[in-house]
This record gives sequence, structure tokens and C-alpha cells, in this order.
Amino acid sequence: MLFPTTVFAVFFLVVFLGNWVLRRYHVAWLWFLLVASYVFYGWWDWRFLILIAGSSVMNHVLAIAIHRHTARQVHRVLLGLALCFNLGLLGFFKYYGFFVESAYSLCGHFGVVPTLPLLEIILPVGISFFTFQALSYVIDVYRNDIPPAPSLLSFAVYLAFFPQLVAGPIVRAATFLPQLGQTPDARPLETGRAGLLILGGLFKKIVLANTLATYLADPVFAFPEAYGALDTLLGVYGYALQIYCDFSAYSDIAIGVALLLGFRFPDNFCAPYFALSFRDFWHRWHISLSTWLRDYLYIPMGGSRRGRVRTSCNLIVTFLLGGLWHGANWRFVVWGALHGLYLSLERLWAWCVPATFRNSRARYILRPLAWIVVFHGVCLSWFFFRADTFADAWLMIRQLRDWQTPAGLLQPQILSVLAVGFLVQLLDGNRLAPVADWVEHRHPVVQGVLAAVVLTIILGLGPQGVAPFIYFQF
Amino acid sequence: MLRIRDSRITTLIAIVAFYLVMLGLNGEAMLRKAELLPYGRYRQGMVALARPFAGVARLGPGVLRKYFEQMREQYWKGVQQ
Repeated sequence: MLFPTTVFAVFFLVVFLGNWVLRRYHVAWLWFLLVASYVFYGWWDWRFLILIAGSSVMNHVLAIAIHRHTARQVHRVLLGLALCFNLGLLGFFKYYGFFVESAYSLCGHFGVVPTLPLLEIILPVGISFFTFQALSYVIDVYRNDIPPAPSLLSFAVYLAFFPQLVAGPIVRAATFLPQLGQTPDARPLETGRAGLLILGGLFKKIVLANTLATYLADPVFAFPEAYGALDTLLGVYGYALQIYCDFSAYSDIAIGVALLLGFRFPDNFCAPYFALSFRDFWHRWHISLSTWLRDYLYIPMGGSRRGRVRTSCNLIVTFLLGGLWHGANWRFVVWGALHGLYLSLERLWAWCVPATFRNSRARYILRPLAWIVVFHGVCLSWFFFRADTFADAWLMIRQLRDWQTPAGLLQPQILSVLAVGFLVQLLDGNRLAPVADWVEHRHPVVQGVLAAVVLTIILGLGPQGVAPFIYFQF
Repeated sequence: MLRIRDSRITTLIAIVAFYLVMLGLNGEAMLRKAELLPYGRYRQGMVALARPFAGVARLGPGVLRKYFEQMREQYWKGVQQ
């Protein structure tokens, strides 16, 4: 079920009513949320409900067992079981084909034919997101950071909660489970903020992301040989802004929808292309994933506590795996490796260049330069993320030397959409709070009419049809 | 200042108003879609449901969407897809 569709509109009205009518009957309310979430997920393919239900049962049982057993050895074995189960599930559904193909390709070089079965496995939507949520829950219980969920039902709702189920944000159990408690949040519903998040998300997705894809990114990435340096640059800028508008739109809509149901999620984006360092970029881009990788991978590997070389290795390994999380393809691994390398080089720069110099008058030159380097470094990594093949990515990078071919895409319409796509980042965070406050003080009918008029304008301005969100494939 | 109980009800009113206006604004498209359904009771029901909204849309509000669609087409005229 996609957010900007009539089916979801009807579904949401039913869920909104049921959620608030049943809120005082705790168990019935939890069952209602679970059934609604399963309907949302099963709308795509009901067979994968068995997968998410099985994952809920297994992880809850293991978390309870980890919590009850005090012996250190048993603790570790149970955690190992949980890790094997979750990573095995992800590995089978997402990476089996990738590893088999890679094994065939590698063995082919040595003239050996492996006997691994080639299976056609459908990738369940959102498996990367709910598996990471389950992993964080079990690890947090193991670390004694949180108690296990009070019931299997609560945990199943946490894992399947429909607004963030298929494309994040990755909400931690420590944030979500307390909100499933008996006592409802006493604060009034922030209708204005939720409405702005949803409409802003729809504007970013329908108008900006779809337009950038239609007129700029898709044509350039589909026929890279037909475009020169300037068009290729515009194409990758377009994709950089398209993926931001697309993914942050989903996160915003998810946060807004959850807010209307009385749940508060943390922000997932904060103007990432304004970052002045790669570290800063990862504090602003897909925050729920970057903090997940930091807390459950980078820090347990030693983080920055074991010397410079080890820190760089930890960064690169974390981002290699972060890249692989995005998709079963070596292109994503290269994308992750590039980011790991950037972060390592950035640390090297910080170690080599004294802070006194970086904060001196030279900062007036260094900061704009840093922005240019960071933005283009990120764009370079997008070539591998978006191109269909490695060959295409290399071809596009090589095309950056071709300044002879005239730039057909250098048109005011395209430049203006790029500018709006870049500036829309200014709306991240809570910068629209005064507008939300103003909306909340209008009569509810006025609020509804305003929202409908704005949505109609959005639908009129965006290209026809609803393209799926990019992050659905992960 | 709205109280918690009120905020849920006012949000519901806002959502219902939003849906009704959206139906009014998109009534014609809704009718077109309903008419494309295979013949039967379901189609009859959907057409009957869509007709009043299409009527509302024709009175004026549907013009808003068309206006912005034309604006978009005009804006992108000449730009190669």
C-alpha cells in the first residue's frame, strides 16, 4: 500500500477512528494496531506476514530468555542465536542470490563450477528495516538498556507498526515501546505539525522527486553515453536531490501519520546537503540508520578508542556493511566503501591540520571549500548507488571529462527545480513550527479545506502517476 | 487552548473535511475511473457515489487542479523528457 493513494486514504480514516476509539481498551487497541499493520503489509503480499509474525515470536522469546538467564555464557549463546536468526533471515531473502552469483563469478575465474542452487527469491518489502529494529531490540535487552517488551503483542506491534514498516525510520524499542503503555500521551494532538509533515512530504515526493527523476536523473542514468560533462553533473545533482526528496518525504509522511495516531518519532533528516564535513553529513542523512550503525557496529568494534589505523578500519567496515544493507550488489558496497574512505580521510585531515588553523581566518575559505568537497564527494558515491551497472557508473564518471558535447539539460526550468530541491532542505527539523501553530489555531473545517487545496495543487504540479519510493527496494 | 479530547475530535473533523473537499476537487477523475470498471453492481454503486462529487467538481473546484496541471504543462513545454 502506497501513502499517496486512495486505498491508503480510506485505510487511514478507519485506522484513525479505531485507534482513538479503542485507545482506552489497552489490549483491544494493541490488537487493532497489529491487525491494521498486517493489513497494510499484507496488501502487497500476504504470504510475507508469516515472516514478520515469525520474526516477532522468535525475537520476543529470545529477548525474554536473555533477560531471565543471568549466566554470562547462556546470555551470549542466546544473543548469538538471535543474531544468527535475524541475519540469517536477511541473508537468505536479500543476499542469497547475490552471494551465489558472486561465488559463480569468482569460481568461473579459476575454472571451477560450484554446485550451489540458484533460487529465485522475492525480496520482502521492508525486511532490512524490521530486521534492524528486531536486532536493536534484542541487543538492547542483552545490554540491559531496556527491559523486554511487556507482551508478545506489544513487541509484534513495535515490529510491524505500519507508518515506518516498509521504509523506516528505524525506530528503537526504547523510543517506541513506552508509547504503547496503558496511559495515553497527555499532550494534545499536533494536527498542524502532522499535516505539514504529510503535505510537505507529498510535495517533496510528487512534485520534486518525481519531476527531478522524469526530466533529469532518469534520462541521464538511462543513456549516459548521450550526455556530456555538464549534463552528467546536472544528472547526478538531480539524483542527489531526488533521493533526498524521495526518502525524506517517506520519513516525513511516516512521522506525520504516526503523530496523528499519537506516536512521536525522532527526525530522520536534517538538511544533509548543507553539511560541511562527511561526519556532519551522516549526522543529517538517514539519522536512524547512521545512529544504528554507530551504536551496534562501529562502537562494539572499538569505535575510535583503539588508535588511528583501527579507527579508519572500523569506519570503512561499518560503511561497507552499511552499503551492503542497502542492497545486494557490489555497487552498494562501493558506495559504502567510498563513504568509509571519506570519513577516514577526514579524520586524517583533522589529525594533520591543527584546529587553530582550521578556526583561523582561513575558515572563510575552508568552509565553502569543505561544502563543495563534501557535496561532490557524496555525488560521486551516488553514481555507484544509482547506475544500473558498474560499467555505466564508470562511463558517467569518464563523461565528466567531455566538455565538448553541448549541454541540453542546462535550461531554466531544470535549474529552478534543482534550486527548489536544494532549498526545501531548509524546512527540515522544526522550522515550520510557527506555521504549524497558526494552522492549529484555525477552525478544523478550515484546516481540512486548506490541506485539500494544497494537496490538489501538489497533484496538479507533479507528473502523472505515483512512482514507488526509492527505499522500498531496500 | 484545545484539550486532549478536543484535539482528537477536531483532527477527525479536519480529516473528514479534507476528504470531502478532495472528493469534490477530484470528483470528475473519480467518475471517469468508476465508469471504466467492469459492468455490474459494483460499477453502478461507484458511479452513483462519484456522480455528486463530479457535479461539485464541475461547479468550480475541479478547475483548480486543471489550472495547475496546465501551468505545469506550460512550464515544461519544450523541455525534453
